[in-house]
Amino acid sequence: MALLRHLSRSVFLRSESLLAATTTRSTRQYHENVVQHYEKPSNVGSFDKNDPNVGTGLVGAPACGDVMKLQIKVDDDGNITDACFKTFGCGSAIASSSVATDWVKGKSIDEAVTIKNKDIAKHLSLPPVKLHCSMLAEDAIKAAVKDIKLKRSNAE
Amino acid sequence: MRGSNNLSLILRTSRAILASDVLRQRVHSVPPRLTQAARVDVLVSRATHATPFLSAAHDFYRSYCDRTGTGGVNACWSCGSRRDVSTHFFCASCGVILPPSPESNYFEVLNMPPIYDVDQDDISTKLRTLQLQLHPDRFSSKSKEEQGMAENQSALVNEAVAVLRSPLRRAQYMLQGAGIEVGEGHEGTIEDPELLMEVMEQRMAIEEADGDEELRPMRQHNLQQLEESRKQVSAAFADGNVQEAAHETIRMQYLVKISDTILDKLSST
Repeated sequence: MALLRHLSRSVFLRSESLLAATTTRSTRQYHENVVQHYEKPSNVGSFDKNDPNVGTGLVGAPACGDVMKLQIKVDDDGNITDACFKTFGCGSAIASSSVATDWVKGKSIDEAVTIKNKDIAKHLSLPPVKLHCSMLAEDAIKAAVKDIKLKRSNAE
Repeated sequence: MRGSNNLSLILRTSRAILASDVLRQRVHSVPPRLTQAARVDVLVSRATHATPFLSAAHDFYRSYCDRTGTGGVNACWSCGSRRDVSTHFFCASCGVILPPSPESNYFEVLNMPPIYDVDQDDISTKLRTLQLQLHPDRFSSKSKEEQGMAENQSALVNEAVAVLRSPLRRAQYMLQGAGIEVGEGHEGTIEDPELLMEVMEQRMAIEEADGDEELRPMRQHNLQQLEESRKQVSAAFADGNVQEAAHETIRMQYLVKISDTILDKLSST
């Protein structure tokens, strides 16, 4: 098993060692807001995606292999009453989705899509190389809103 | 062990040559946040004029050579005779060490055909031979500049070997040459429900897994998927279908990430 593991690592993951080194270095530079949201992320969880009042956004950042699921619960007036997320990715991606779910709550779905990744990045003081993590959150909100709109137009 | 034998078997299988006209397509900047399929469509539809094969590598070498500060890159610095792609390392006329050639890509550095299914044994042989030829001991009596050139060449060989040995990096590199960035340079997001759903489910299963006994079957499954993915990438390149190759390489990136996660958890339990 150990040999197999070593072999497959050496064949597949050569590029990963460089990546890992970079990630380790940048971990120490995270802003405290990121660390807070990473260590105690708000709204981690899952809603039933078949619930007619739930919109689900599923997006990925292929460069880092991140995947983010963001879900919103929407009332009949189009207001977001609750939000949750499940993200597999770096600290910045998790912190960005945590912030995004905090911010969309209480907003209408039309307001929610105006949330810009730049604002999330600014709030978390993300460095330029991590901007795409906040973009993931912005796109996840948009995808979730698109999903609920589609559900509702199909229901009509 | 059976898994790794299969891996090397696939690696040794040689396939048809890449449709080089597809690889020569030029690509301009693309709106970053299209879905992957749409993105690749744009990339390919914009691909028109021919540029040198693997232009990203080409640029890399140019800047690489500029840094060495040895002047003209197409002529031997010592005797002035013209160099061609067959003389990567030493001047064909006077035999001195040369700086890395701006004309070569990694396949040319190792003097191999530019196909996805590279011969792994051949890479090992080339590496051994070149390491001997470029070994610092052989340049101990030469000038500082020559020692520097040998070092740069040696670093380049190592990088070429590292990229061409890895199924993922090799695919990323070949796509880069076709103007499609799927690796670290890809800044966009994708909405590929089928792939992302699968990744999400697997990542959750790994997270919830309790101990090695539950992780080992996941590891096996992941290895099978990686092999399958490599076959797909290989077939796509062999068909000259860069869109499909890009799509499948992104899948492979996710699978490698899953592999990483499993291994991290395996070793920590």
